[in-house]
Amino acid sequence: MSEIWFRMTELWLIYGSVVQFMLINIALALSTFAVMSTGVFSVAGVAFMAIGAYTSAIMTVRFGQSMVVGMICGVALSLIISGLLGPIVLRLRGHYLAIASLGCVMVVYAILMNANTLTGGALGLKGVPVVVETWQLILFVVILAYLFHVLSGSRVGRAWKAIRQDERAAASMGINVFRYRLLAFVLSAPIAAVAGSLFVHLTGFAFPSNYEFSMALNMVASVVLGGMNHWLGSVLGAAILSILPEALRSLSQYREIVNGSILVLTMIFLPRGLFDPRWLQQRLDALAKALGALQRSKRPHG
Amino acid sequence: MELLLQNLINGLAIGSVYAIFAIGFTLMYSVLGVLNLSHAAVFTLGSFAGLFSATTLHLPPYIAFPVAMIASGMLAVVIDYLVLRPLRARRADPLAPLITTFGAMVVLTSLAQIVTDTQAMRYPPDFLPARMFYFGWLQITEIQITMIVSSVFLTIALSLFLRRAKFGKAVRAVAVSESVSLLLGIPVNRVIALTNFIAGALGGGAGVLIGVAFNAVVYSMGENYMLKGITAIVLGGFGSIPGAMIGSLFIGVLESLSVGYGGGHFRDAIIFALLVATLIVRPQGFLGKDSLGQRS
Repeated sequence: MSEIWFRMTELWLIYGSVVQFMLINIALALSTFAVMSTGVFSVAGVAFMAIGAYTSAIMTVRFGQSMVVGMICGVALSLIISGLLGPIVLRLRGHYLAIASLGCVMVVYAILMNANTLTGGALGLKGVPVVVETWQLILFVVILAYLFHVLSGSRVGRAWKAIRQDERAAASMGINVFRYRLLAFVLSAPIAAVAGSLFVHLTGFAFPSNYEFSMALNMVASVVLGGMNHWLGSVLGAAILSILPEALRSLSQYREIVNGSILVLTMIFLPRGLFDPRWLQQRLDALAKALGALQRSKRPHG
Repeated sequence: MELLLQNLINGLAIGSVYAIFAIGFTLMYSVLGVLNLSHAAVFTLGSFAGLFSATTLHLPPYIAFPVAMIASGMLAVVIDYLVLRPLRARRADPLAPLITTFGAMVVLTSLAQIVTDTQAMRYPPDFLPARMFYFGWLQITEIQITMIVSSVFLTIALSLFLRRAKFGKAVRAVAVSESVSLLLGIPVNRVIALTNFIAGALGGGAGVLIGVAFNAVVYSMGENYMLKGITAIVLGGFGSIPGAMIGSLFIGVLESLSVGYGGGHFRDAIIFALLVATLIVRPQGFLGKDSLGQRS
């Protein structure tokens, strides 16, 4: 028994951090999924993650507050900013919206790099208390999963899906496209902010280059790989993209190349993503049919 | 007054390089309807190609520059073939190319990072002599003159090509409507390849000029210029070549003034805030939208 326990601890020591980062990536992917599931391509989630992360780091390091206070402040700030930014940004469409969201990320990044007295500039903030434990991450992801499960069957979830499939048709059915998109945008911000806060309290530092292009790639790639049909797809995508570099440890140098190639290949060959409920349903139906036929053929004729 | 004029000169020189970059961007947008984010990687690799021809092949600048442009033009054609053509064939969602070209950019950028071992590299000191000319108090370096002259030359050559040459007219026709051009017997695929080649060559040329001007070639240089290029396009209006040019010059001057008077701390923040503000106030840009084809 103690032997098994010892092995488990050993495994956890090696792979624990992979699981922890995977959980954070799942949360970030779900935040991005909320926005992308309404047919909006936005990378603004990175900006909200940065806001959550740095607010938490600044509150604890500069003002000596606890992590909970920092996280609450980060969430509040992200809600305020997304509430102000959302109505403006979401009036744009297509390319313009994508560019505007990228602009927001870059503005936040430039502020992080240059507001030295508060953010520590390019060197970042060190000495953030490392207080996050794995069960907190698991709890957060479970809460999110429950939230998305409830949402996907609800009026809101169905409206999002309708908007993504055909914006005009949805509008003509009486769905207020703008309002539902705003809801998705404002919902995604605090999720990213909490994930950011957990991230800094897990690693113990806040570093500006974590909140740039590669993070945007990470978040978007998870959602695209998993597919935008179902929130479980994003969970799957984030899990794969977090474990893959570990499985290909000898290729760790090529992590970004792998991520980028996955993005391109998925978009070209698997436009509906890995997790496709319709496909799954078809397979299950076919299986049921085959089983039924098998049963009928066993029955004697007459 | 001297400081202001000096900053204006510096700004126009750097802005004219942004202009070559942004014109490539906007050309692809108006012909393909795609915001090709991999243009940033083409810019970076163009800079590397220039450096390679200058250091390893010991080519003089006036040969190294065209060599780098041709190499990056070919790279752009290959990227289009691998990453955009399958989506065109499928008539995919208009945002799909944004994702695939983003992926291509990341792949190429991190390839460059691995190959260069994250080190910044320099042009040999005698590649372009750092001579200066003085007009009273004002100074202008030979590199700045090169930047302005090559930018003006390339822009004039491009607009002459688009207006006068038969193939240039075909490019404009495809920009108006791909299917009608096909019906009229225009070899659309070749026109698309040519557009990518020109755009890539312009991007790579900008990369060489920037690499020489700051005497540093780094794997990550493209991302920053991509955002400046996008800002320039947005300011001038998507798909408008004069718009991209004026937007770029404006950004160059704005940057130079913000460094001259504000110490440059928030230089990038100002540019990106300008980007977001323009999108909010006037998404069609300040020169109105006249895409390549709509204006003849």
